[in-house]
Amino acid sequence: MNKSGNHLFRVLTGVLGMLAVLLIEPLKAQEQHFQIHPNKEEPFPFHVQVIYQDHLGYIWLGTNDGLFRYDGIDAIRVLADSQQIGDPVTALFEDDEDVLWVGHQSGTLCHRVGNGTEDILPIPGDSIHEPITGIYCDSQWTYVATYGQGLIKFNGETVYHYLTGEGLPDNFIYEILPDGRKGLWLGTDRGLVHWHFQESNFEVYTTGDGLPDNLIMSLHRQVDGQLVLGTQDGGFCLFDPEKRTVNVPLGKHEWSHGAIVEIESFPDGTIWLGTSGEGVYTWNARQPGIVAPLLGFDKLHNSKVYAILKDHQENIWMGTNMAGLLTTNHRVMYLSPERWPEAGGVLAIHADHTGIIWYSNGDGLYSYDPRKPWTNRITFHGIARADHNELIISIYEEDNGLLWLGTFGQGIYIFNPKNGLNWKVTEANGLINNNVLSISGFDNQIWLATLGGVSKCIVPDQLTNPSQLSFMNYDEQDGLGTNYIYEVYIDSKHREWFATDGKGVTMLDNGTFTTFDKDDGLESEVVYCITEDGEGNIWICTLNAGLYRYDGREFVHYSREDGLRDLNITAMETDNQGNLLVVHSLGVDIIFTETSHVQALSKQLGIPPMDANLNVISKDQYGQVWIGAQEGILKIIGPESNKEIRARPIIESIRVYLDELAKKGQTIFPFSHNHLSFSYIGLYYLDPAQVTYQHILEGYDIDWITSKERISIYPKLSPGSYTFKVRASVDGNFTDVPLESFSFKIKPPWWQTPWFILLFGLFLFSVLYLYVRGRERRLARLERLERDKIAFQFQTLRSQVNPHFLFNSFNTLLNIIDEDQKAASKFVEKLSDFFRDMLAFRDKEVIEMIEELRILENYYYLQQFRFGKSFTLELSIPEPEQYVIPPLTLQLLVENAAKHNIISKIRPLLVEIYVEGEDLIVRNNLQRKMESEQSTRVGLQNITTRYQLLTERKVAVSETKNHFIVKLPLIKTQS
Amino acid sequence: MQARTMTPLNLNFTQMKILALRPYLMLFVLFAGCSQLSMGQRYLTNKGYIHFLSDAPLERIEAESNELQGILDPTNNEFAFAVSIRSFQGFNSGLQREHFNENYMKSEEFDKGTFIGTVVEEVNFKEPGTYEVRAKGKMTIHGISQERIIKAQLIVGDGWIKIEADFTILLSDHDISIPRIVRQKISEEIEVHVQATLSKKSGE
Repeated sequence: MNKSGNHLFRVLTGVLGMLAVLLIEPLKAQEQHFQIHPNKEEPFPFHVQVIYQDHLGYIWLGTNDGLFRYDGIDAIRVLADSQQIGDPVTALFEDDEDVLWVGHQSGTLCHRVGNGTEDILPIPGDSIHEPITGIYCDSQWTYVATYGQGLIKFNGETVYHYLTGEGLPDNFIYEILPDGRKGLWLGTDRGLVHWHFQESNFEVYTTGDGLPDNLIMSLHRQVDGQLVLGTQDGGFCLFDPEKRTVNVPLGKHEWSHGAIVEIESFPDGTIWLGTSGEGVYTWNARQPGIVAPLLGFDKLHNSKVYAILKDHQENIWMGTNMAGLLTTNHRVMYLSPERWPEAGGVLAIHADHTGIIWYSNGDGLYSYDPRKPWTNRITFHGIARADHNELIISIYEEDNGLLWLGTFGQGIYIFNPKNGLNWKVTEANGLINNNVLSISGFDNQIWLATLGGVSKCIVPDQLTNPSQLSFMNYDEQDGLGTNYIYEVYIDSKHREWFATDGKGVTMLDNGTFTTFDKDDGLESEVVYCITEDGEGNIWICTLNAGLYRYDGREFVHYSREDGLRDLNITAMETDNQGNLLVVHSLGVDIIFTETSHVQALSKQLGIPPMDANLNVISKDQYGQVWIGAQEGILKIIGPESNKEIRARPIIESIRVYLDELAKKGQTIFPFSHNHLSFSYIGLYYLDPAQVTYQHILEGYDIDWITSKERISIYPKLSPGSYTFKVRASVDGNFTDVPLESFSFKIKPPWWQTPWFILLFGLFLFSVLYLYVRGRERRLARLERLERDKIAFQFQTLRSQVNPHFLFNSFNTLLNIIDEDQKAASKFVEKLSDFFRDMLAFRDKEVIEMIEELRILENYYYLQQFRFGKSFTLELSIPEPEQYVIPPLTLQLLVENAAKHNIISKIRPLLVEIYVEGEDLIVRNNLQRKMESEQSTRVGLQNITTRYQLLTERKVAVSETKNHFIVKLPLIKTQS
Repeated sequence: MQARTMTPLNLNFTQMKILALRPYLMLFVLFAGCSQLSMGQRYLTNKGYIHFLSDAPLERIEAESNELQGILDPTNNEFAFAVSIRSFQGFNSGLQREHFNENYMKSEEFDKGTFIGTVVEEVNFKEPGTYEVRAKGKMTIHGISQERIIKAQLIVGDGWIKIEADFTILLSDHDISIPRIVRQKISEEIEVHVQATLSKKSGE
């Protein structure tokens, strides 16, 4: 070896040495992605032994050094009584009333309500000094399982302690699991125990019943109700709680990873097994004979797993001794070229009907078989040789199980995975073009999209020779628009959709081509991919213009404003919930078709920024979506729900100035306490930094305020009613996101309080009222006095009637009593009638006209005796029944006429009473006596005054040369 | 542990004697704490063999002791083992042994390593033969207790039982902290081998 050879040798060894160093470097991006909490720089310093999520979504960490509450950003130590600090937490449970129960290694049981501090709750009557391993509460009892002191059941009054003597097979209980009815499953050193609360008996299942080991160290219930039991030395088994049957999928001796102390499961049948020193192993019912380690974080591989919990947002939490507090997920698996070099540079991918994933890169065709042990899952199939420039860029499995491999420039290969044989089919065989970008099909129809149009091929049942194949070709002349077709997609109605380069999207339905382009609202006419969602909508993605959804009528645009992180989408597929997965350079977005919310799957889930070829995506028979890129292969399982993950906001504290609200329920503040601040959080453990908040103080703010801050401060609020509302969004889209609110009042100062205003108003009102009332009273008194006076006068006036009349009547009687006794007695009879009427009407203000006329008639009769034919009364009142009149008015006037005038045979007196218009006229011929009897006019004055009280019309008294006339207003009966 | 409270610093001769007896006494005290002893039945030893190995990238440290005390009650499967930390001999240097006792194990304060518990499997102690069992109990080292389940082999003979077990101890489980500078020299996982023959006669 010469000098330069030596030199080369040194260089080579140097390079090799460097390579070796590089290989020793820990491999970072691997199958599973892990996040270290709170962050990589300062991992959680304690051993997390219990993980629990409460109803609000907080993660509670029970550690070897007390209890912590974690919100994704900070872990806050929850202070218990001094003696509990440092006491390892061994059990957590939240009851139906949101009370969190905390069991400690020392046997101390605490509980805490809301944000309060922990209270030590002595278990009545018993001294528990062994670790509490399980807590459960039903409506009546609290059940506590211990490691060494059996089971305790207690309430406020009664305690039952179950020990080995009382039928419990063992005092060491590792874990409890409520059976969902009225009992508990217990994992003990002497088997699986079922305890029915009511019956208080213990059913025991041991190795005699088929369990692989008697030491049941962990219990878990799957969504289908099956129990998974983890044992100390025999691996795990499935236990059917209905049939009470045991299924040991691996066989006792195939498990060699130590005790299984924690279990978690997923709807797709995957079980994660946390071991006491070898990290986590996974198992799936689809490949019952295989357990594979959870890869991705080297420290986990020799860790003791204390706790595993799947939270409400599908993060998987792990508390370990060597790897700290971790989250990972079941939804993303990443085959990174750093660990799997052959998984890089993927050009095409396809999941076949058996679950094998076929993919190609520059080397040729590979398959990834998840059914094989994890170490040898990838197989190389030496087909399509890179040195022949044969790059496989599309893969399709037809019904017979043959793989159709489309190449760039070399036509297609039809490959039989069973025997490895393949045929090459090119333009020479009738294929329209040798650059096959996409292959799809249904039944025996196969469609190939190329750079020269599309070919349709009907595959015969028994394909033994490529010459059997015939192609039907379509190009731009036939209605395709252009010959460059990126993808052919066949929808559920067997319509073919073609993604064209610059001519929009073309659909072939029953032999007719329809093209959708700018005229249909497509901003960009370069279409890369097409897919159909669970509701039958067709989604297309375009160059630089985002997505369009076609519901059969119109194209709806989806862009950055809707939460899409990148507009350059290279592949799309729907997951098993019908939601849309889109691949772009920043990773993968899930579009929830029902709500239009977007969940970004990014580096927090282990998804790298991706440089992916078009349409390198495929869905397997389980609904798992496989994506290939330059950066390796991703498997994505859709969310367990078709609803997006929401960050429900929680108002964590309300402060007045700097003081935390003393009373939790306080909603009314004095006017001097008008400086309020609100702290809140929307829990999103995957990436807390991604949460955006909007808040509004109704009564103060006009519109929502968008911010990443978790605090809002309102100084100097004026008195009034306010409602603080906060909502949180993970994708920046705030439509239909959960909301939390707090309504409160700032009380006005005392001089502005409603009470004060009310009292003051009342006071003012009372003063006014009293004044008005007093005035009214005074007026009323005056009025009453007036009335009394009038009534008195009236009374007096009326009483004046009687002496005059009596005087005259008795005179008359005196005159006739001797002449005609018979007439006299009749006179007396009439007089008594007259007086009876007078008595009857004396107290009335008015009487019927008819009654007055009767009195007048009686009076006239009486006067006839005195004056005979010299005194005539002529009455003419039509319908007298419709009038009323003050009593004795007419009588008085007639009497006056008789009193003041001469009445003789020669000069008879005629009194006429008649109606004129609305007046009653009393007229007599005027022949005044010379020696007139006391003409005081008292009687006339009486009448005038009485009428004044009854009507506004006046009584008129007039005198002509021959007549004396009194005009009385006629008063109608008030009907 | 009761022993923790006694911290003899200046020892005279009589105290030394008492101290020498104390481990033995303590074992009985510990054991009496967890079961009623049926005096005639139990198996004992006070010269069991225990060996540990720390296999770190830069250094291999081994030490052993023949002063492992053990007691096993065949009537209820309960057992107790204890070894004085300071009885370990070996190491790569005297200084290392001193560091072991003073810096890491604090053997003046925590002078015992103990393992007390029960044998999980049913063993017919009247039937000579080899039994693979699991011993479950509290292992206390450096004053820190850990629940452990350790696989062991029991060979039951006539009036004696031979016990053999291999297990590992994680330093972090027992709060034994190693300065960063010697992490390449002391393994986090200590491999332990135990071999003891317990006999019905008192453990001479």
